[in-house]
Amino acid sequence: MTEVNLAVDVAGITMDNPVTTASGTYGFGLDYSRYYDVNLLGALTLKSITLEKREGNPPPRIIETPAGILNSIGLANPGLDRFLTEVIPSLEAVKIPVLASIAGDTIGDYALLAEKLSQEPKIAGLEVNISCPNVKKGGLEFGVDTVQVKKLVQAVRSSTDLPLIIKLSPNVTDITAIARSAVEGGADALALINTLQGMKIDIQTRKPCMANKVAGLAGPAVKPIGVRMVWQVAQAVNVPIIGMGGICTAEDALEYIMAGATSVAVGTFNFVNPMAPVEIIQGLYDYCIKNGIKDINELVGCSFK
Amino acid sequence: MQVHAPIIEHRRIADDIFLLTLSVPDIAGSAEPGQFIHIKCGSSFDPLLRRPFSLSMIDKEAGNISVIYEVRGRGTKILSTCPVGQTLDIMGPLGSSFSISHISPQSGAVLVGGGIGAPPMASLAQALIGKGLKRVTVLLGAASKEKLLPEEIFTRTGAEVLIATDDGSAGYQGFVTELLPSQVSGGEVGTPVVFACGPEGMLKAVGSFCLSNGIPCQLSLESVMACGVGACQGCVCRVLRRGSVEYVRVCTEGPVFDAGEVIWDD
Repeated sequence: MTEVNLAVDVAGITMDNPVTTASGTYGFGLDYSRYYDVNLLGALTLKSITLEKREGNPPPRIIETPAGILNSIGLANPGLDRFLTEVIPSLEAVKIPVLASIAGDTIGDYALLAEKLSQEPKIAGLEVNISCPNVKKGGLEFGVDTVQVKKLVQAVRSSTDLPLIIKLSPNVTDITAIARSAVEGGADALALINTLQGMKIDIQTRKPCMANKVAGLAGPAVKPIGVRMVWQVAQAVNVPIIGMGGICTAEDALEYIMAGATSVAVGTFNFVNPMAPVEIIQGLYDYCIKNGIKDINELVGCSFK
Repeated sequence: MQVHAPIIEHRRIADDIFLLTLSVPDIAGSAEPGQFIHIKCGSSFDPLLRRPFSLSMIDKEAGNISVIYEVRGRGTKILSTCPVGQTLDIMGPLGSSFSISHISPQSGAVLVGGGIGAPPMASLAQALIGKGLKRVTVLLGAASKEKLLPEEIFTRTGAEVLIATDDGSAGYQGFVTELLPSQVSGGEVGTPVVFACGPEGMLKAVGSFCLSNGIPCQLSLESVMACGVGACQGCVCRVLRRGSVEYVRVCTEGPVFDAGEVIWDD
């Protein structure tokens, strides 16, 4: 792979290729290590952590829908202390940039998490999950309100020098307004989209299937919405975007890149085809060769330029 | 691992119930009873997720594995139409296995299999008999004789099979769990060990009987799964570990658990 440059830069984080993992679909980075070397990815994005351990929501947590899944995991995670003492040491063999994802109930939680993780050399950047729709106060209040988004990002910004990637919720009227607030608050990059709020009702019990009632829709079904939102945000702000939402193939990744994403994340499709991220990297390379593209960065946002 | 494995046998063995055998030496070589494979049913995005199936037979010499499944939804409906010769995209072997290394050949083993949960009891019976256990009994339950798995799947391992059906159309009339007390008492069996896989109500009954009688018991749990490898946290059940109740993943920490650690939701 010498003739094509697949390397991208997201807020100072150099990735050998544009492909990373969507937070929450890849655990803490080692669950797929029996399938391929994680170092083949451009970056590794970990599952969101909170200050304290969270058990997560009662099952069922995942329900299949047409070309998608509804999920309501509830931020199940071991908490900051075990993240630092158990997860970080387990990533010793990971040489690619590692992005930690943080979530909290209060602005103070986010700021404290950012501060603690700043002292950890393994972490190359922070993804700030302001959009998890599953836990009460788990982010939605922040992610749907421009004033709250700006305050939150400012607080995290003043707590860390790490690159800050703000992950946006699609469950808003105008995602460009939220994106601008995040950038005004000090975001170095944006990640979108998180899951779309959805629901399934059990027609036998006549009640919502999920204990949490509302859940997050993900998978190929949401891809056109993600592409549209990346396209809108890329034209509204001047920071790099990590695009995600239903990416299954290199063709999907290329749509996101052409819509304005510098990097792309594979989420739900990891569950279907564990080799998808590696196949996408190869597919991006093949596309560039076939179309005479010397540098993948030439394609970023080309749909509106 | 993820492999494309050819189907070498695929046939209906009971009402809406199929036996599927794949040639996949790498998985057969490392798989243990209780583990499962994750099959992509069809190539479209709908249904999107793979479907997990416990291994009913592991033939290490021939390099084959079998699963037995019931057509319940779109995934299994599509799977049932796949002909011999076609290859299937599978991941495996996944999950925990039945713990049998500590079991003495002098022990008796009683394997309780209910409905479409019964298949892994065949590979388990084979492994126990291979370890030298002289008395392995499979208690095979089904709703009716139409849904009953062929007895031969279990008897050919050398196990004794006792049948119960809910409607009495074959064997004992009643729940398969009602056969359990007579099989683990009377001293005939020595120190018995019990294994079970089947509907939740059956697992609860087997687990609670064994716990109250001091009989070691392992249960294989069923769950809807997404990734099958522990990444998504979607398939959790509640267990008692180190004195506290916590969620663990059925696909990774399970599907086989000690009866004493499983906490049932009421």
